[in-house]
Amino acid sequence: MTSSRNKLYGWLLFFSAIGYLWVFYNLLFTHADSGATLCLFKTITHLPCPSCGVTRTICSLIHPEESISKIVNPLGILVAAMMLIFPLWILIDLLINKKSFYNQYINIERFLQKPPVAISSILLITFVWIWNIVKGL
Amino acid sequence: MEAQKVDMFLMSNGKFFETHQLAPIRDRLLQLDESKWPIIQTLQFKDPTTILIVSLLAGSLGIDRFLIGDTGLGVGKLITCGGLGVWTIIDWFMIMGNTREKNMNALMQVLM
Repeated sequence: MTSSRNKLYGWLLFFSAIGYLWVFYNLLFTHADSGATLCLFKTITHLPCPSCGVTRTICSLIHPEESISKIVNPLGILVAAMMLIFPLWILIDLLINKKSFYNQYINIERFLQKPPVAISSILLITFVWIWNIVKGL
Repeated sequence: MEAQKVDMFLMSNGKFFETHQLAPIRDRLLQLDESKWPIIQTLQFKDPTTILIVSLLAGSLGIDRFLIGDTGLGVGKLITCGGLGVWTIIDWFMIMGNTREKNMNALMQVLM
């Protein structure tokens, strides 16, 4: 159990670090609207994926004065909240040697696997996806 | 359980587990009570090759993670565009091992 907790924490911290680096890279060196993408889906199909625009949304949350109208994907707010909360929670868990984040993660996983919740989530993501395609992100 | 039944199980299901797990599985199955055989026979395992194909085709949407039951990581992969493409590529190499690990967990739940 402890090894699976540490494995999950390790991966989440790693991906959070990559996320922060990516956001800072976008803020410092490129324009969010430059069209540069790492998304394999978009490169191959030339269509936006459900999470297209998340980086732009996070950038516009950091610099609201520049582009308040550019909250392009509502999932960006969710990702920004996760990037703020998850690393802190994980680090506190590791420091005091608890597994509250891991337990909560398992609970949320079970909740999302319930058919009504799963179907609603799929519909919501499909809606965001269609919206992204219509907006032409 | 009879050695013949155990070997038959391993012959038909060996590909669903890591090679180093096969010997412990065999030992554990040999010690197992005969009454557990019907339950073991009905277990459904995920095929690592199928999951790899899904990962190659729809990995950036996290479908591979959803399929093996890692819903949390699947959501993470979906809303970050496959972890900016990095996670998608890492998973091409890791997903078969993860699938075998999930299969092992499913089997262990019956064996315990």
